[in-house]
Amino acid sequence: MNVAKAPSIPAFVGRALASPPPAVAGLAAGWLAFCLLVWGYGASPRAMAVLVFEGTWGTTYGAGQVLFKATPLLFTGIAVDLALRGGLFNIGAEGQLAVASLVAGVVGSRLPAGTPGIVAVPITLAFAMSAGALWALVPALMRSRFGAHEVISTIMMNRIADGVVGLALGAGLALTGTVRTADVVAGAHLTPLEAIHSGFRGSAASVALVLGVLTVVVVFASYRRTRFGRELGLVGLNARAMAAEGVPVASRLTQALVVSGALAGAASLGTVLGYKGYFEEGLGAGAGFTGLAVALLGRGSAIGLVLAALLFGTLQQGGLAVNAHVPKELMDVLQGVVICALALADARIRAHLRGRA
Amino acid sequence: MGEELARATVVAKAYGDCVAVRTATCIFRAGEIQAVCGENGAGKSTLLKMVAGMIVPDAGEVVVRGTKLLPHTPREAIARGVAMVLQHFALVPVFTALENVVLGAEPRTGFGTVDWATARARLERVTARLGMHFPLDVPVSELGVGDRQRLEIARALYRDAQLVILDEPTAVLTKVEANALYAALRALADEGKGIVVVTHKMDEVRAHADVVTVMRRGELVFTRTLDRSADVAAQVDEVTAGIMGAVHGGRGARAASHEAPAVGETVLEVRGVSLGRALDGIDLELRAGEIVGIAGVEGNGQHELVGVLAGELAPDRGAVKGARTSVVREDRQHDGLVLDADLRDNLVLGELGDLRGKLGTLDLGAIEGEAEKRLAASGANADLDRTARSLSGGNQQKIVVARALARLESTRARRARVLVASQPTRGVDLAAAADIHERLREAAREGAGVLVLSADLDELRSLASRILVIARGRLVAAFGPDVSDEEIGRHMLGLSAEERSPTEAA
Repeated sequence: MNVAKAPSIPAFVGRALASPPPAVAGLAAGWLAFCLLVWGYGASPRAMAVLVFEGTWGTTYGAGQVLFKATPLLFTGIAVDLALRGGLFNIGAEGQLAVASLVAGVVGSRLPAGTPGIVAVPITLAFAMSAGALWALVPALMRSRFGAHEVISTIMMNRIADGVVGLALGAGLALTGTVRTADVVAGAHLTPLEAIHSGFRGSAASVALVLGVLTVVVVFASYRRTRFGRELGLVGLNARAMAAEGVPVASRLTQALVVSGALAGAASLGTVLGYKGYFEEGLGAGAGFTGLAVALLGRGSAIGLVLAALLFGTLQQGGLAVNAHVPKELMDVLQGVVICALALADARIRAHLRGRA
Repeated sequence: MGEELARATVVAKAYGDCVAVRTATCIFRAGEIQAVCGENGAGKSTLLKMVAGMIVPDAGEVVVRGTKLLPHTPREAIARGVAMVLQHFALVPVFTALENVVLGAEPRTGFGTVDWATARARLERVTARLGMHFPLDVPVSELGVGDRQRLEIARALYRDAQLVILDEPTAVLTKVEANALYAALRALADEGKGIVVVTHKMDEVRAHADVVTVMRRGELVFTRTLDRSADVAAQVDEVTAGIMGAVHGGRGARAASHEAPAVGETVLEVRGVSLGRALDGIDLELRAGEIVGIAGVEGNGQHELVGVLAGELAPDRGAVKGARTSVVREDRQHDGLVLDADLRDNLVLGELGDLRGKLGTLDLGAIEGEAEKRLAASGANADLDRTARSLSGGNQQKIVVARALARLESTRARRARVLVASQPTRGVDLAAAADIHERLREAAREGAGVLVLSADLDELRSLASRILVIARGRLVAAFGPDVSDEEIGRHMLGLSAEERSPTEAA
C-alpha cells in the first residue's frame, strides 16, 4: 500500500505546478519578471515596487490615472471575452478600436456646435460602435463563408486598420498639417470625474469608467439571461450539439464577432470622448491587445474582468512612476510576460490552439 | 487454465468524490475469452484502462507477466503485449487504414524512411489470419464502424498484443458482424492470446465467454468460469443477478408484450428519397402510435436518413412530407449533449427561444421549471447543477431522450409528432435500456410516430411492430417482430437480393 501511495504525492504536486490557476500563474510570472528586470537595471526591486505603488494607488491622483488607463481596457476586455465565449479569439480589438476612434472623432466634430450631450454622445457612440462592428464583420464573414481562421484575419485587419486610419487622416479628415481630427463638439465631451468629486482632481478619468463597468456587468448578465449570450456559450462548448438542436451556429458566431467589434469600438468613449476630445493617430493604441490579457485574466466573472482591467491599468500607470529610474517599457515587457503565462496556464486556450474542428 | 498474462491487484481509482473503482483484483489469462459485465458506471472501463496503462491507479498495482507495470503508461503496456481497443475509436480519420496501423510503430528501411512494403505485408498477414477484409488504402473516415473496429483489433495484433482488451466491441455491430467478431476472437484465444471483452449483452456472454467477471458500483462482485457442460443459461442468469444486485430479478429486456398499436393518421411520409451514394430511393410511411424499426449494418445510409428526416440534409431526389420531427442522435457525446454545460442547459438545449419573458430576456424561472420537469421525467438520478460529463452513459442517454420526448408534448405550440431515435440504447446498461424502451413505447401510445434505428435486433423486436432493413441506402425488406436473426441478417448483408425474383425486386 505504501509503495503505491508514495509516487502519487509528487505526481499531485507536479500536476499542481504544471497547471496552477491561470491568475496565480500570470501574477507570479509577472512579479518574477519585474524583479529580474529591475535588478538587471541595477535598481532595487523593492524600492521600485514602492514607487509603483505610490505612483498608482498611493495617491488620489495616481488612483485616478489608473482608473483612466483602465477605462478602455474594460471595453476591449469584455469585447474579447464575449468572442471567447463562443470559442473565437478576437485579436482584432486593436484595429476595431482604431477605426471606431477615428469615426468618433470625425462624427463628434461634425455635429452642430450646440448639440446637447444627451444627443451628441449616443450619436457619436453609435457611429463608433458601428465602425468597430463593421471592421469585425469582415473577418466574421470570411470565417462563416470561407472558413478563414479568425485569429489570422483579425490580426491582418489590425494592420489594415493602421494603414486605413493613417490614409484617411491624410486624405482630409485631419486638421491640415496634423494627424488629429478637429475637436468634438462640447456636448460630446464626457464629464470628467474631477468635476463630480474633488478627490479626482487632475485625473483624466471620466464617466466613461462608469459606463465601462456597467457594460461589463450587463454583458455578463446577458451570458445567462439572453438567448444570444447563453447559446453563444453553449456553442463555444459544443457547436455540433447546438447545430443538431437547430441553433444557427454560424450566425451566432458571426454575431459574436460583430458585437465584439462594437464593444471594442465603444472603448473610444474612454479615449476620444472621455479624454482628448479629438482623435489623433495612435490614440488608444495597445488597448486592444491588452484587452486580450484582461479577458484571459478576468474570465468567468464581471468582478474578475474589472479587477483585471484595474491591474493592467496599474501596470501602465506604474511604468510612468518608475520611468526616472528604469525605462517604462519595462512595464510593457511585464504585460507580455503576464499574457504568455496566462496563455500557458489556461487549459481552455491550450485546447483551443491545439485545433478546432 | 491458461498462463497468467496480467493481473490487477487491489486497484482503486477515484475522480474527486466520484469513486470509479473502489477495489478490484482480477487476473487475465491466455487462451480465454473473458467477459467483463456490469451496469454503466460500474467501473469496468476504468479497471481495464488501468490494466492497459491508460489510467494510473490511486492504489494497488498492475502486474504484467510477472512484473509490475512501470512506468504506468499505454506505451509500456503495449510493449509488454497488452492492448486495449476503446469504445470511442482512436484512429486518425484522414490517414488510411495502413497508416493508422503503423502509426507509432513504423518499420524503417535502411534509409530511415517508413518501410511500407514490410508494414503492408505484416498487416495483411494479421488480417488474413483474422479473416478480415477491409481496404487498407482508403482514409479511415470512409470506413464503416465495423471496419474501424476490425482495424483497431488488427492494430493491436500488429503490435504483437498477447492480451487484447475490447471495450464494448459489439455495441456498434449487427448480430452477424458480432458473431464474426467472436469467431475471430475465439481463433485468437485458441492461438494462446488472452481476450477481454466488456459487454452488456448476456446472450454474447452465454454464447462466447469462458470466464465472466461481474462489477457493480466500483466493486468486483465475482469472477467465475462458465461450465459449458452444465446449464449455461442458469449460470448466466446468476451473472445477470450479480450485475443488477438485488434490485432486478429477471431479464428485463424482453418484458414487452406486443399489444397491437392503435395506429392513427400518417405523420411521416418519405417518397423516393435519394442522397448521393448514401440513400437510394427510400420509401417509408409512419403512422401515429406505431413504432417502426430500421435494422442495418452501420454505414448503410442510416446516418444520412436521420439527417434528411431532421431536415439538415436536403435529398437530391424525392420528398419528405409530414409533421415536425424530434431526433435522438446516435452520438450522444458529440451531437446530443454539451458535456461541460449543466443539465439545466442540456435539457432545454436549442429551445431558449421559446423560454423568453416579456422583455425578450430569458425567463430563468421557466427554464428552471422546464428543466426540473424533464429531469424528473427522464428518470436520471442527478441534479440540475451537474455537468452532463459527470453522468454515466446511461444517465446521459436518459437526458437526451427526455429532451427529445418533451418536443412531443401535446401542449407545445410547435409540437413534434415524429420521434426518430438512432441507437437509443447504445452502450447503455440493461436497466437504463429497459427504462428508455418504456419511454419510447409511451411516446407512441400518446400519439407520436416513432422510428427506431438500431443495430440491436433484440431491441427492435421488443419495440417495433414492423422492422425494415436498410442495406446500401435502400430499404430492402420488411418484417414483423417475430422474424429470426438469421433471416434479418441475410437481408442486412444484402445476400438475399439475388434470391428474390425480378418482379419482387422491382
